[in-house]
Amino acid sequence: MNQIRPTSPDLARYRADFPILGQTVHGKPLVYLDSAASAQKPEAVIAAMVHTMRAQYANVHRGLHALSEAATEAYEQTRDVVARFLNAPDRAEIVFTRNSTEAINLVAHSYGALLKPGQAVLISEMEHHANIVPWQMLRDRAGIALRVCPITDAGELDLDALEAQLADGRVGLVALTHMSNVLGTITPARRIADLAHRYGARVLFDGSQAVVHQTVDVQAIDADFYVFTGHKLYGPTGIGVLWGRHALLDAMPPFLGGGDMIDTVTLARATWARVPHKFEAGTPPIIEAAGLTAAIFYLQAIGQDAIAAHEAALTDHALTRLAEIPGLDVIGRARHRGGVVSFTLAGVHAHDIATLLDRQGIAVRAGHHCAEPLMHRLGLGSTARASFALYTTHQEIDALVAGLHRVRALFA
Amino acid sequence: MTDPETFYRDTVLAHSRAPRHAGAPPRVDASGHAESRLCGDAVDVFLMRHPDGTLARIGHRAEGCAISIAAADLMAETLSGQTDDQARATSGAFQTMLTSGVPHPALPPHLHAFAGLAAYPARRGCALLPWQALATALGHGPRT
Repeated sequence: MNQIRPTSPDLARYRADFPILGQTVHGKPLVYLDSAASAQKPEAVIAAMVHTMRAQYANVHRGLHALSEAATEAYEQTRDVVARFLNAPDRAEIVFTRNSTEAINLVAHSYGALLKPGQAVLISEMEHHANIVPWQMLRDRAGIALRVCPITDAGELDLDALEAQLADGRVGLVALTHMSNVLGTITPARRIADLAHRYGARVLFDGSQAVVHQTVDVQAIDADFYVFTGHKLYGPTGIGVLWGRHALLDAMPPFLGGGDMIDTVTLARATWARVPHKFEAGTPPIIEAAGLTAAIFYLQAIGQDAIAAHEAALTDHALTRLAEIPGLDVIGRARHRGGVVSFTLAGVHAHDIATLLDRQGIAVRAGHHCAEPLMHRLGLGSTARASFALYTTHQEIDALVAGLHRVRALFA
Repeated sequence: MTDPETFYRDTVLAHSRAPRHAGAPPRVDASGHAESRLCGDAVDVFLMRHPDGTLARIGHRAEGCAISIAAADLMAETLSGQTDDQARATSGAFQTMLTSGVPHPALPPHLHAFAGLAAYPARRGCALLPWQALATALGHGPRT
């Protein structure tokens, strides 16, 4: 974990790498504070995808011609890049999916098939719908119980309750966020994994937010599965990653059937390819993989620690400045948090905040953030959310604060 | 569109801060409920009829953004004295206006400012929520 504070390296020079950030919205300079929903793309990612389509495109894993071999090599190189990015011990443990949601569905389907009726999956109150609904579907089709770990009022996992829910040894899998997309809470992954393993459970982390804001080492946190998505990591949509321990992936039945995931096929039956190909049916995200490689190289060239320090400083600045606004409540007070800040403003609905900020060129998210059970737990219908990225500046947070003062004045 | 701040200042806030038709009328002949799946906002609409079946008073209970509350209040104001068929026609005109962005001649001027929401597709649903509740209420009520 990176907890480098409060020095903020000046990343302003990297802002120019993101062409979209130069535009105006409603005649105002764009202030993009919605990176937790999806991050903007640097020129390096755009160029890599264009290059693939212009010069290096063919289908992978099947052609015996030069273009297909080059495309296959580039696609498989992404697996190496992602394996190093997560410090995975084995490149074959990297499975490409469409996004985090599909990766979790894959585990729910295929690891879920190994669970027995009477066993349970344990999630938390602060999960994204992507880490709730697949488990509800598993529960309903396979007789697997679904347990929910509460959070504290500060928005942290209640680890005592987590242990209590594990104590009877019936939990087969703990599936938790590594960083909340609403509260910004970073969960103590290693402690969670240790607890899960002590009681015989495997552990999956939804790293959709976490990988963007900190270095993730799946061996150091002793995870069993880890998922993330490309588009929040400054990469393209349409590609996500599942990392899983080789032995687990090997034991799991396939998810989707089709080309590329088979060893042999007769009209009577098929046999499966080895991992990871067993889980990659059909033509994979070839162009998107080129974009993901470029995104990871881009992050690593800047330095993930430098980005984490920058975002920590931005978050501190935002929490300090937002506290100046009367009637504004920041939702969640976790001690260890990333660059996502949700808030409410007394007397002003979150959707009205978002519309009026948009008029000032400021993009924030408003709503339930695909986490309705968390909203219910917090007793809220919706919140507004500002989220930060490597290209976010202190001046943009000041613009948000000025914008909120203006909204408040209008409603006064 | 019209500047959203102007829309809020002149139309929305005037009706959302102190809605004139909030709450149920003394007698409720029909009611309807609508909820937004996007944000959880909810509106109840209550109808009280004259003996001839026309709408005497419309009340609302809106829990949501300022646009949905203002839309509910202005809807209540507009529909008073209308028959069910007239109310349905008004509702259709309002929906057409939110898609076209052009003030609808069949609607009273105080609703015209909502035409600007055509440029804000995500917010159209907020303004339509009370009208959806109305449709349910009319479905349950006697035809005139």
